[in-house]
Amino acid sequence: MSAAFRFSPQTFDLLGAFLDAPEEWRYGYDLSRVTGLKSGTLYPILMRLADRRWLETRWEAVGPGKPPRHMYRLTSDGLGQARQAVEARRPQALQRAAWSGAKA
Amino acid sequence: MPHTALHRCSHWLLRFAQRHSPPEVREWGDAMLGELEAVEGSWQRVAWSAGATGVLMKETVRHSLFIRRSAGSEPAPKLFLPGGPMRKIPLWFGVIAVLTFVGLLLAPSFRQALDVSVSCWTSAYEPPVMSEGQWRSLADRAHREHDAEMLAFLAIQPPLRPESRRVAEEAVQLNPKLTWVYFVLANRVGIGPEADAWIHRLEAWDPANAAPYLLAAGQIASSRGEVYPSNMGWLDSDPRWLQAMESAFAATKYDSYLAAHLDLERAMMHRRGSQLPMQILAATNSHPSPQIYIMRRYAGRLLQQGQEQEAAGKLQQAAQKYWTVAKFGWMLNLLPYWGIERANGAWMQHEAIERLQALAAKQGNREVGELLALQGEQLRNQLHPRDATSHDWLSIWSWNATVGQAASLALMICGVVLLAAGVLGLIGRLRQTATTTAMRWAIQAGGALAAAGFVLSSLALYLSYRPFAEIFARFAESSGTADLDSLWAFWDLAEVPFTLRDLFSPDFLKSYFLLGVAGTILLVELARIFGSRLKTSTAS
Repeated sequence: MSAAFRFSPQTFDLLGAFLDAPEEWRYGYDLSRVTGLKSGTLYPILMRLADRRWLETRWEAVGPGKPPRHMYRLTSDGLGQARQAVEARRPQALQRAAWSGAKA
Repeated sequence: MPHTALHRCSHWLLRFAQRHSPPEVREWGDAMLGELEAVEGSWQRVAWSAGATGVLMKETVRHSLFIRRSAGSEPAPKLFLPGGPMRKIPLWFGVIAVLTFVGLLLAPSFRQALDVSVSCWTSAYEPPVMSEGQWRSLADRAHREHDAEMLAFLAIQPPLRPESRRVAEEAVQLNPKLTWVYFVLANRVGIGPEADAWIHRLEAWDPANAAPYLLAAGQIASSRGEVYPSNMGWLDSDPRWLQAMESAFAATKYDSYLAAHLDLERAMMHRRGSQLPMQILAATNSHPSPQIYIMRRYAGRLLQQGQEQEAAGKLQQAAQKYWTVAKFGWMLNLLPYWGIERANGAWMQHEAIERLQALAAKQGNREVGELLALQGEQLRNQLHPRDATSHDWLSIWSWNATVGQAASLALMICGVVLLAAGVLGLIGRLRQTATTTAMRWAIQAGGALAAAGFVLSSLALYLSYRPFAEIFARFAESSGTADLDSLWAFWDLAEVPFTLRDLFSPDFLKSYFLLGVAGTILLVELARIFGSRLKTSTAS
């Protein structure tokens, strides 16, 4: 993981959603519903992940008269980096939960 | 709103943001638009559109201002570096502007002009509040050095501190001529035994002066918390109030100690080596004013009693009542500056003189009647001046004040733009950041124009303020309330109208910030269009 690339909790939520089904192509609205992120938060993260080449994107035609939809999936590099980042975060999350008395 | 209309609005908003976003982000705008069609629910669609529009706007601003050089991209020209696209002219403009400003700062009148112009846009009439640390340190030093003037000055500094009382006592003990500070303190502390004690000391120290009695009467009038004079009929049957007012109207002089206060402020100003008119103006504003309505109420009561006695044929007693009011009004009208006291004094004098004139006619005293008629005419002229030629100087000052206000506003705007251009240029150089053509144009043209405006507005402010600097210099060297009228007239002219000043209050800052962001986007867009047209014409 790049030292300059710091993750927000929202980014971890999004990476978690991608890691749940790494092979699947996902829509923006679908990701928004799963993670609870609004469009104003979701798209800057998607743009940043795509810039870093952690995400690959493609367009999918939906039907006549309807605009095509943009789809996202983790690249192989992105998949490895995302798993590493989520694993690295887990001990911190457990520690925080222990101190606060909440469930991890 | 029908759902279809909401749908159309949210689509239009996002489409607009997408069309105006830079090419690098436009694909993401298409992605957001594509998803918008899939979002369920009208309001959810609006929320989606608003969030996505915000993202696109942010990206548009970011791309317009800076494009960070990424690995593998073609090296873009660097701003301000040797051989870079930043022209020398804007840099020279900036240097000349800063040097001119620094040079003008050496002139005391320009420093004064800056102080006045900044104060005019803020709450200038609020006296400056000294920090606790500074106040204590000065008080300790004044105590060690038995510096009565400094102790008196500190005692009347707002806000009223617990130590202010002790410091005032010490000042008065060292120099009894400073007993007047109790007049300020009693007014500041409000109704209560402490104020009463100070007023009694003032009455004992200066028994011939009407001001302490009027202060006592004012405290009684305020004791029931009534705001409207029409609800203060009870005063006419309050023996304490009647006694205080009788003493005030029987006094042989009126001195609100404003002259002594100004002399103290002048002395402190000279000792500190500062020449800032706003501090003096704030001091005159913080000095207690008499409650005019109680004077008018008591004068009205005496005139009414006189009329009743006149009707009852007791002409001698009636004349005595009228003379009491005339004498009190005359005393106020003798003040060397034109303030609220003098205006009301003239009114009281006029009312009493008119009655005395009628009484003289009734008694067949022709000579006295003629003399009183002349005085009545003089007072009418004073209250309603017909000849405006004596105020020609006001129109000249008014012109100067308008130029000064405009110059100070231009100076502030140009200063901010110049600073922004300098900071952006410096960031560009330090971070080795490449810029867009639009950005370069914006910095160069904005910086050069702001620098020119900065120099011109500084000079205009300096020149337009010069007459006021002369007024203040004269005031600073005089004593008492001499030249106070000129100083007040100067402030009335220099003061920015309240409605305009309110626009610069902190409440509006959020709106201005948003307007500023919108304005910046617009300017950058215009610069981009202009830059691309220029590039096309150069290429062809």
